[in-house]
Formats: sequence, structure tokens, C-alpha cells
Amino acid sequence: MTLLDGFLNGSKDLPFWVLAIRAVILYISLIIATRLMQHRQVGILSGHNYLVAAGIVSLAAIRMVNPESSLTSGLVIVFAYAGVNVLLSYLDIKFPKLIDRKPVILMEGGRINKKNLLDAHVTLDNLMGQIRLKGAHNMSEIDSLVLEPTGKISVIKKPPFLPVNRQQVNLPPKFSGLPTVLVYDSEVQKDNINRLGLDLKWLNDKLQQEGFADPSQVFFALLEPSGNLFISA
Amino acid sequence: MEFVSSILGTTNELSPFGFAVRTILVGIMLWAEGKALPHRSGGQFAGYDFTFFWMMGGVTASPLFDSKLNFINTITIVVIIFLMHYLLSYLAVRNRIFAKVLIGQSIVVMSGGKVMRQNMARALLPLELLLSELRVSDAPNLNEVEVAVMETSGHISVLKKTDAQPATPTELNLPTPPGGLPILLINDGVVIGENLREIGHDKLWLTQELGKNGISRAEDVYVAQIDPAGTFYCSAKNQS
Repeated sequence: MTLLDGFLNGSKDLPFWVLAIRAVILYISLIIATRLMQHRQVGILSGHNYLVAAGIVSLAAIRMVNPESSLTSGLVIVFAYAGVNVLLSYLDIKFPKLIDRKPVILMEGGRINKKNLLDAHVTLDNLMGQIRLKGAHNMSEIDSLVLEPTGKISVIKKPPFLPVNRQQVNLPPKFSGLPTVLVYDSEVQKDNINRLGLDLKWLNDKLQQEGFADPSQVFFALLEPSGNLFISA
Repeated sequence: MEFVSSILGTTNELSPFGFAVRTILVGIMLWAEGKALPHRSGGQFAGYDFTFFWMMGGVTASPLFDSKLNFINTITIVVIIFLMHYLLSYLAVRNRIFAKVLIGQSIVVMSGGKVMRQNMARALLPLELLLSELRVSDAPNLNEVEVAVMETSGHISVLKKTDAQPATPTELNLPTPPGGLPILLINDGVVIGENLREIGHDKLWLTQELGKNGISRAEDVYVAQIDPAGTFYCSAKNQS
């Protein structure tokens, strides 16, 4: 009973294996909490996402190593913390101006906005470095620079300095879109094939043309929107 | 009253419920900080931005580490770290010499297509890591690289040789439409009148444009945008 009590509420003389089990539970709770907070937490899309990442990791870590801390409180905190983050993200959809920071325009129409640059405390050397990372080495080629709420700088080049696109050389449009998975790890994806209005016979015929007697010999197969078939054994 | 002081102040024992209340207070701090923190810290342009942001997250969550840690100390430290970062960035943006000491300088590791061994050592950069960063930057072939720079943010920027760069419309003497930032006209059914006036159009024009796309009411539009070349874009709310 005292062991269970120590397990849940923490105690000074906790056997090391109980500490280990507590750590496993906290670790798993952290993974579940991360899933609850969705992809935008993993991608760190706004200011509070950063702070949550740094905070939740350190609080779980400290509670793991401290045998005197309560496991129950630890679990409550991890999920309440994730809940607060989800709430902030939800409010961000409802009231975007209230929750997150606004993007700051650092350059518009090829002119640097000195006031915004100084207010954002970005030095010219910082700016040069960040645009080099974006592959825009010459300032004269840039139309606009935006300091995004995450702190990343996006670069919008002037059209004459962008790569030539198909329209400019009068090439007709091509089909584009996402490829469909036909075979994944040697398993035929029947649903995907039916959705395309095709059947297994069509797939087998196609694979035979490429020299595969059976779909199980194929590791990965994709149908691209152009009609091209990608097969890898 | 005792409960309130155990939440905000130092206490030896705090119930899970007490910690849940503390978490909500920390949540409010997270919101305020997320809004007030300088943009550059998130972009991690330099080492001190990196330290600042991760430290800020840890300090903000500290009342949840242990019941003995209280909010008054936490807020004091948050304010001090914030002011330090503000002061350092303020000085850096106004004095280039100070900026060089605080932030360091970017180091050129490839110039004229040649890898500079001494600068690689200065940047503590092994060859394998340079090759890895080049691959990530879509320049796997050393032959194609003109300049590579180790930036203060710790990433490597790559300038390809002109032969390896995509052709631009100027080089092919092709005409180009005006470019720049597109303007948002409708956000989740709400017309942004300010932006509409900026481009010199009115609601009647917007309704006509939406009509061309088969939408009768602005409320049914999730997003509408116009680019500087005048091309209209819209996407309806009920798009599945």
C-alpha cells in the first residue's frame, strides 16, 4: 500500500524500478498529449507553440527525475497543459488577431521598411543571412519580405527573377495532382484502385507488362496523374 | 484564501487540482508571452534567440515543476529575461560592432566553387555535415555550388553557379506580369473592406467576380485573394 502511495504521490525512498515505471508512464502521456495537440504543435506554427514545447518537455523531465513529486499531479499537468494549448489554437481560429502575432512587412515593392525592421530588432546582417538561406542573394531581385508570426522570413521575388514557368513559354497545361498508391509494402490497396474506377485485373495486366507475375513481388506502386505508373520491387 | 495563496505562493503540498489551476494560470502567461515576444526570437536568427525562447518556455512552466516554486518569482524571471533580450536586440540593431560580438558573423565555407578548409574549421563544420546541408538545400553536387555560407542561425545558405540556376524570364526576354504580395479580400466569409479600397474596387465588383466563380454571396466564401497581376482566386466554405 505504501508502495502504491509512493508510486502515485511520490516519496523520499522510492525504489529505482518504481521511478522507472513512473518515467515510462509520463513519457507515454507526453506522446499522447503531443498527438492531442495536433500537427501544428509539432510544426510550431505560432508563438505559444514554441513556449508549450519548451515548457511541457522540461516539466515532464523534472517530474520524472524527482521521486518526491506526485505522479497524479504530473499527469494532470501534462494533459491540462496540452488542453490549454489546444484551447489557444482553437481561439486562434475564432479570433486570429487576439491570439497570435501579426506578420511584419520588412520590404514592399523593393523598398526596405526601415521602421518595421528596427522595431522588429532585426539587424541588416540578420536579414541578409535569412534571405540567403531562402536562395535570394540579391536584394534587387526581391519584391517583398515578410517576417512571419513564427519568426521565419518569407521572400517574394520580382516576377522577372523567378524561374520561367510553362505559361510564359506557351506550353500547354499538364495534369497535376497527387499520385494514388496502388501497392504499399506488397499489399494491394483495393479501396484506392476502386476509387479510380479500376479493378485488380487492370493492375495485374499492368504489372505483367512490366514483368511482375504477381503484385506480391512489388514493394511500392503508384499511379501518377499523368497516367504514368511508378513501380519499385 | 489559503487555497489562493497555495496556488500563487510557495507551499509544501499541492493537490492535483491545485496544479490544474496553476496550469491554467500558466496558460494565460503562455498566451500573453506568445503575443508579446519578439518575432526574431521565434525565427532564431542567432544563438541568443535560441537560448531565450527555450529558456522562456521552461521558466513559464516552472510553477508546475514543484509546489515550492511560486508565481511571483516566475513572473520576475520572465520579465527579466524578456528585458535582457529586448535590450540586447536593441543594442545589436543600433550598433554593428556590438552585434558582431553578440551574434557572431556568418562564415563563408565555399567561395568560387572551392571548399575553404580553414573556414570550415572556424565554423566547427565537418565535411560530412556540409555535404548533408547542401543535399538538403537541393545542391547535392559540389560542381554546382558557387558560394556556401554558414549563417549565424546555424544553417548553410547556398548560391548555385549561374549555369546551374533555373532560367529567369529576363534571360529569355519574356514579358512578366506585375508581382508581389497578393491581397486578402475575404477571410471566412468576412469582406476586408480596407483591402478592397486599397486596390480601388468596391463590393459590387467583388460580387461580380464571385459571380464569375459561381458564388452569389460573400458569406459563402472561405477565402478570396487577388494577386498584383489582377488574377482573382476564391474558395467556397462548403468545399469538400
